[in-house]
Amino acid sequence: MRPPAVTVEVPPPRARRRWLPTVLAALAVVVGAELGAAALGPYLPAPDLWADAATATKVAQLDALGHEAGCVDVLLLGSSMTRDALVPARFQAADPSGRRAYNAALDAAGPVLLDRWVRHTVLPRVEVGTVVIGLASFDLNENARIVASALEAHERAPYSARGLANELEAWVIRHSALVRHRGELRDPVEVVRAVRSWTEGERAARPNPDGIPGVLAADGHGLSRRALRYTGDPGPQRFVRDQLLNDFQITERSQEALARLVEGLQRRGIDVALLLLPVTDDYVAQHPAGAADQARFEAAVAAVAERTGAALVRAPSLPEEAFADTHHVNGAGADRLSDVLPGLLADADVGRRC
Amino acid sequence: MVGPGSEAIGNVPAPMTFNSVEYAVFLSAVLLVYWRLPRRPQNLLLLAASYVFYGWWDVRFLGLLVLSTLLDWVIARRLGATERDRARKRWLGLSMASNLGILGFFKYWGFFVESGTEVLEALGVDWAAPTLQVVLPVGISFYTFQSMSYVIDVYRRRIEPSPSLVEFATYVAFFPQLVAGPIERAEHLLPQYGRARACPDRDAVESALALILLGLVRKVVIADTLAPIVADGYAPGATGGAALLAFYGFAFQVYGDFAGYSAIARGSARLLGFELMVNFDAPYRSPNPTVFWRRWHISLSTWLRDYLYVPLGGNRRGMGRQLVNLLLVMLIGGLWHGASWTFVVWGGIHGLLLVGHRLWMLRRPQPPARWSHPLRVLLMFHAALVAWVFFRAPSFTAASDLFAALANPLQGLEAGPVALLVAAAAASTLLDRLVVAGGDEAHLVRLAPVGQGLALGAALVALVVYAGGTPVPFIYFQF
Repeated sequence: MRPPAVTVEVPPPRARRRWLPTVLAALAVVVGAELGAAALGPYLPAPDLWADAATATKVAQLDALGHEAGCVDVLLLGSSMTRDALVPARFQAADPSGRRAYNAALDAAGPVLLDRWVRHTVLPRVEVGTVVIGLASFDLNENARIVASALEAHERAPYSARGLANELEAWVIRHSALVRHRGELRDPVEVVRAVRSWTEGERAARPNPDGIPGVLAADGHGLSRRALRYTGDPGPQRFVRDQLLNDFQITERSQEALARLVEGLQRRGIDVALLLLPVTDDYVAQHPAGAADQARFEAAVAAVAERTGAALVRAPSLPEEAFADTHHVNGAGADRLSDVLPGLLADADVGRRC
Repeated sequence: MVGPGSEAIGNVPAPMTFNSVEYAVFLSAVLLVYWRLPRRPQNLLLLAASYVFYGWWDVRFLGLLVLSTLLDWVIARRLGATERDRARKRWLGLSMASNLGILGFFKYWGFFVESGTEVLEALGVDWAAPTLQVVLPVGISFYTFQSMSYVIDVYRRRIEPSPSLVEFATYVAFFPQLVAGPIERAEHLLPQYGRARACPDRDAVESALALILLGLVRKVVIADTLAPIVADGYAPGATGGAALLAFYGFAFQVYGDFAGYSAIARGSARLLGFELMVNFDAPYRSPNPTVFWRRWHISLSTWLRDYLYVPLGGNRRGMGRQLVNLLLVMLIGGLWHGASWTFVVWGGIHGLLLVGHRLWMLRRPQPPARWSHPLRVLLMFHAALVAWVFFRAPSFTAASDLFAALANPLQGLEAGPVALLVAAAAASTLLDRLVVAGGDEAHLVRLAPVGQGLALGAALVALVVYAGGTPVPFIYFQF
């Protein structure tokens, strides 16, 4: 006997969506866009990956130094004052042992920014024997506006921002032309211009070790103020008062930041010299308490030097003709300081080679 | 007050925005826990998450949200418990007074004081107005209207009062739509908290993700790209060319911004098993003002219709009263957006357009010729553009400066921004054509697999190129 028929309700087969064509089509668009960006990239303007063009150029120079020699005997660090004041080529020529130097100073860089710059960008690229840190009173001013904004720009720039998310983004930027050039790709005019340059074979300028004409030399020193001469203009004085020495205050924290920078370098076996840079009388006069504030600054640097064992070096005073403004030296001042620096370092018994 | 599209929302810090990494992490974390819970704890989690979301901006204003919620829940319960008309009216009056009182104080105090002072000064009365620095709580206009509609509907006996405080509180504070809508009706959203929610199937997840992706494209690629172009045009001393770009650009900026927000809200809600109403339906394809308001900010226009226009008499008391009602509703709708006379003028222009269209329909009741459709769409779009100037401009001076600059539209016109505007407008129109079918943006998931993939790839590439940097707050957060 046959068993009774059992009716089983079978749900209608669910229409299976085909994933593969969707994924492949999406992938094709993304890969096509990536390849297009990679092809067009060299013809697009340089992406803003560092805080400014000078920083990007210095990174290119450090990369070149790393490839060539892999080492710099004397690294010059500091703000634009150091950048303009010390000419590595002249230093090398004046140095009896011909030590190789490079000027890695950045615009408005205080100790906190310098610490990050050296640790994350400079030292991974080149070995260093000695670091000379040029200092002026605003470097230790807790409230200096320009120092704060430079640090903020450094922390915001894709390649120097820290933190897991930022470092992940930097990794993606390094590996994807589409992400790296997205700022330029947003501008249709730039895209059209790049396509035209592509057909003509004209690549766009990129930060390169040769420097920036009229702004930055191949050895990292500043060129823009070499031909200037300070005439006592009120403009620079106002700038110093409002942006550098505003609410002048040297705190434990600012001294601690400098000490941290010095000790970090020393831990890597690097000799450190703290160089008190020359300034004009007009600069000193812009401090809220005038010369007393300048003296407080010098005492604070001396205290850090004593605590860390770093050498304290005082640059010679310069006449007003050697200045481009209240605190930056001009070409004559820079040549003079660069010529005497080897002797000053020798006197202080610093100058380890790498 | 800072105009829409500027970097900050007024002078207040921005809340957690949908276009931020924080929101992606927040939503993922909520979803991860949410679908492991039974219904009641799900509602509790949603309520807690919504308060965290709101408190992220400023924890102090949570108190206001909670107060508003408690008041309306208790009042609705009282309304449900009594049959006496006088008592019911009293409870309704208390709810309206408290809701509008809170809204009036936080949003309109400065506006009324300033306007009152100006009037008194004009009359020669010297009055030292009390000045208060009141910070506008984000989304107050949205959640107040949503809460009010619940009490009104209970009063009208369209719905029963909610027995569950948690469900009602979650209805008021539901984070996907808390700060900028859609302004949901209790009869639509509230019952969804009482039902068991099945984990969304693959189709629902796909359509939800499509909505979120489309919303992000509208916001990040279209609106945020246009924001600086529009800001340039409204800046003092802008050239005629910049003004022209701002004149056209703001229409697509505000649409991309708000429709983008609504799409992300709907997508987020769908991932949680909720359906929110459609808020936009290709509004710039409207041939007349009546259709425009059926397609633009649908949740607000229907709210104004049901809770203001109809109670005022609607079209039941003759043509004259109907026209006055239309104008009045649009003026109030304008003021709802912001405490400024420029918003009132924006509403007034739309009111006059609606009145004009109604009168035109009276004179010419037969349907217009089909050939005239594109012309009528173009005309309506330009009428909306004129009104948008008052919506965007921070003052009447700024608005008149923009109109004055438009007299010389080619002055300083630059190719880059023109190309960006054209591209953004084209993208906006394409999105409307491609993915909107009767207001349902999820239409995208019904494309052929290869078409879907191409659209997905294009959206991802566009987001990669246009995202990055600090997320720009949504314009409607300030309302």
